[in-house]
Amino acid sequence: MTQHATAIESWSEQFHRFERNGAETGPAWLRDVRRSAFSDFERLGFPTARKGNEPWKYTNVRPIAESSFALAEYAQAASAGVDLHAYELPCPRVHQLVFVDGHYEPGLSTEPVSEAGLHSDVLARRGDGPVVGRLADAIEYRVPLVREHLGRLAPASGNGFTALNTAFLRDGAFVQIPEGTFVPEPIYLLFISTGARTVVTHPRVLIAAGADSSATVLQSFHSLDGGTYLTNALTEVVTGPGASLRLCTLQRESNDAFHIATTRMEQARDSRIASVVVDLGGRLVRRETATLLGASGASVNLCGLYHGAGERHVDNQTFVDHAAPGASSNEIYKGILDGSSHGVFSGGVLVRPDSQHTDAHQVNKNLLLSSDAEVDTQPKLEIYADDVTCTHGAAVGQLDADALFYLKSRGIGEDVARNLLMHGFVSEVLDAIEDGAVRQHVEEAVSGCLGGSG
Amino acid sequence: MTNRTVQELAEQSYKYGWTTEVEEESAPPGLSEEIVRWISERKGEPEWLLEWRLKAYRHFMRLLGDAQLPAWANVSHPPIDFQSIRYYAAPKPKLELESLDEVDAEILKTYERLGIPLEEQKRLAGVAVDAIFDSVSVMTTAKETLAKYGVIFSSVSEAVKEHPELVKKYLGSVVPHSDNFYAALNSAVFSDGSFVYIPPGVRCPLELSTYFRINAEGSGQFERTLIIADKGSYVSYLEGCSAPMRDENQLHAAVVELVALDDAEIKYSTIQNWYPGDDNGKGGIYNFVTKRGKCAGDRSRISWTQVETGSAITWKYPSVLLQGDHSTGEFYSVALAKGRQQADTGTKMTHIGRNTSSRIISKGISAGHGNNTYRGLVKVLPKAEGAVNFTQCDSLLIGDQCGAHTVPYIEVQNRSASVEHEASTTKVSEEQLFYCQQRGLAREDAQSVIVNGFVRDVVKRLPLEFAVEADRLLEVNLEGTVG
Repeated sequence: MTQHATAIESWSEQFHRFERNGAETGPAWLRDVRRSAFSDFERLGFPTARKGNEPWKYTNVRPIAESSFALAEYAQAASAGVDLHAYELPCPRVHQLVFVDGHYEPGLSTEPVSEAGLHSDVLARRGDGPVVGRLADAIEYRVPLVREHLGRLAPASGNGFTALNTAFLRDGAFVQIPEGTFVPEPIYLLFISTGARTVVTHPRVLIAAGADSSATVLQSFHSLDGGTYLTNALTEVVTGPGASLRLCTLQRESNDAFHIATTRMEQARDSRIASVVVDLGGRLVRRETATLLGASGASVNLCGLYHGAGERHVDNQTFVDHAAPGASSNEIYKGILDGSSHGVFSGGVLVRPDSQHTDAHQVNKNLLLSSDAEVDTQPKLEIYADDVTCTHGAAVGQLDADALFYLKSRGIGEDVARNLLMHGFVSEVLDAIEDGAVRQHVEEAVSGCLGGSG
Repeated sequence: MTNRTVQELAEQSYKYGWTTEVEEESAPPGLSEEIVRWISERKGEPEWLLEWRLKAYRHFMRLLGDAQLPAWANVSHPPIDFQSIRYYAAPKPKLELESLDEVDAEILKTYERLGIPLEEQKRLAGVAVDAIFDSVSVMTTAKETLAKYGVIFSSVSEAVKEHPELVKKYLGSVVPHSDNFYAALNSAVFSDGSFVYIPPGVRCPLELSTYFRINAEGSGQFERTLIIADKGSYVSYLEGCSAPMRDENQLHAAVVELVALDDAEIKYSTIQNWYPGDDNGKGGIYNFVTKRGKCAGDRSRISWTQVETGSAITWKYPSVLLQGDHSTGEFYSVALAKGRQQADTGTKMTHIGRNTSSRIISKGISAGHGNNTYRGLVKVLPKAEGAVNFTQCDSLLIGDQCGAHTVPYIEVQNRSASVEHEASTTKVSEEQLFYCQQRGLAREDAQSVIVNGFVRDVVKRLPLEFAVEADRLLEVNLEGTVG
């Protein structure tokens, strides 16, 4: 308990330093949001796995609570050594924003941001292409959407991590797709950690897709070097009626890093979100993905892949809230667990009263490759309407011995055969990435990972 | 579904709701060390058992003091006042009964009305019955036949006197007093229950059966059942329950412990039909039960089959500890929640030994304002090589005011395990109803046929007499629910 108290103390010091150091440049409302978020954090502290706290039953964040992290100072030189080549998407044009240790890097980003480009009058116009810019600019130029949605979907009071993210909110990415706009090229948000020890970043992303718009957004988290640091990301997504949004997250943090990510989505009538998350790195990973299907015809497809190696602990929590009739959801999460890694999956589906004609399906499958690996899976259905079709399934096993034998009998070596089977296992998730360039990029990352462990 | 049918469903009469006029002796309401001592003294228990009770009592009071009541289940009820319950009630006079003729005629009538063939025992000898009336066991039939095979089937109180070594060895060995809140309470105040011991190599010639009846007002029932199947033996045990209709909520907190040694098999079937309360959720039994079996020996097998149609609240997780190599645990369940009933039930399968397997089939039916939750844990420990589990949980919704929930936990710590879980939730499909109707079945009969098909996998596991009763119970309970 005392250790906990000192941890909060050190965050408190940091918060006051952060406020003095430049947070005063922001508008008054934002200062209030931050302060109230920080008092939420002081009240909540970090989540504990104590009895009765079901969502944190399998994940202990004490290593985070007991470490002290500092915000990275902005260093001009930080980006100089960054070779972006390895992170490039295989397509001619992207909208790209790059953050290094939490700071925006104009030199590496493709989107020159002008005041005009972010101005609210301009934004409303159809066919202008997407706005991909800094959240700090959007706040400064008083983009109305920011005030409307920031912190609404993911209230700071949710848990200690969302509270901290909001308390330290200064910059991040703001993506807006105007009504009726189709964006053919991927929007790429790249968060790089230099691996400087004990740095904390609080990446914040707000994505607003207007009515009948369509776009692909890739969020990518990388580390240049090893190192123990904390990434505490928070993404809010809101879609207008008929919008189609494809979201992909690729997480390749260092093997000593902590990665906490919260994504909250809200979907309007007939909108569609296809989300794919791929976790390949980190020491302790906790990812919460939740969507509110608030109007009829909304649909969501949540896919996930997590690879556990070494001591990694990777925890995926999903929640689909069917709050309107005639919405549908589909979920496929797959895990490959090797070494002494620990995989956790908890998938909640809530069908509220009167949400008739709901179609909800969920599958979680896990491959245990090592005798020290562990997996805990918990698919949950909570249903209060009768005219529904809901299913869920979960499976834990190892590579099919018959399939392995078949391949070997065809002259394929054991290692190659195992790799083939693992690729077959993950392809169901990767195939859900619709954008070709993004899929190729993620597939390469996954191959690199599985090849090494196979 | 129309309002009319919802109402009809909720008003479905509970046919076991009468009380029996019989003079009772009971403890004053409240829980204290004195009460625990009083119960123990009343039953002429040895010192070690009193100590055991007191240990549980102290643990329970500590939990109660820390307000550590289990709050994780998906049920809601007003706080229970543990000081207002009478922890012991027994028909008077309590004599040593030699034969059926000595049992109070009123009690015999009660069981007759419940359809338990106590009187016919001598002739038919199909089932050996232990009948528990409120807190004490009134009689155990067919004892002689069983004695011939060396089978011990008696009340726990009797077993404490006659077979203390067995009771001492196994009581609390599967469900320790510190297991959970209600198990602690039960361990402190348990009044009676059934005790079964099957000697090595014996296949019990009769289906053993216990019938539980709560009669007294303001009392709770805290029975404790202990079944031990020694090496290579087999026993099938049935349990049925009912209670009068009352406005108050009565607490039933039982503990059932099963122990199966090498090559032994225990089949435990329950038809639970406690009074569920009226259509506004007033009254009814709180059925907070801890049931657990231990497959202690290699190749042992424990199977739970339950049909849960009664109780205002059911909180029950019959579990199996798969300790012996090649042991098997099974759980087959039908749970029905209608009216304002809340059922939170499921199982825990803990794989400890090598090459163990478990199978879970759960069928939940929700109607009216009922809420039905399947909550289960499948845990494979690191040493449990080759563990196999298959789980299927299906829910059927009848009416748009009810809820069906599935909360499985799967924890696997051994890579050679193969664990599968499947769940689905649907309503009775219009196509199926239409198909049956165009074959000339009335809509209501059609639904009954479909429901019967839905629960078939479970009901077919029940012994024949019980299967018939289960079908009939479901039919009666679902009358008027057709959408």
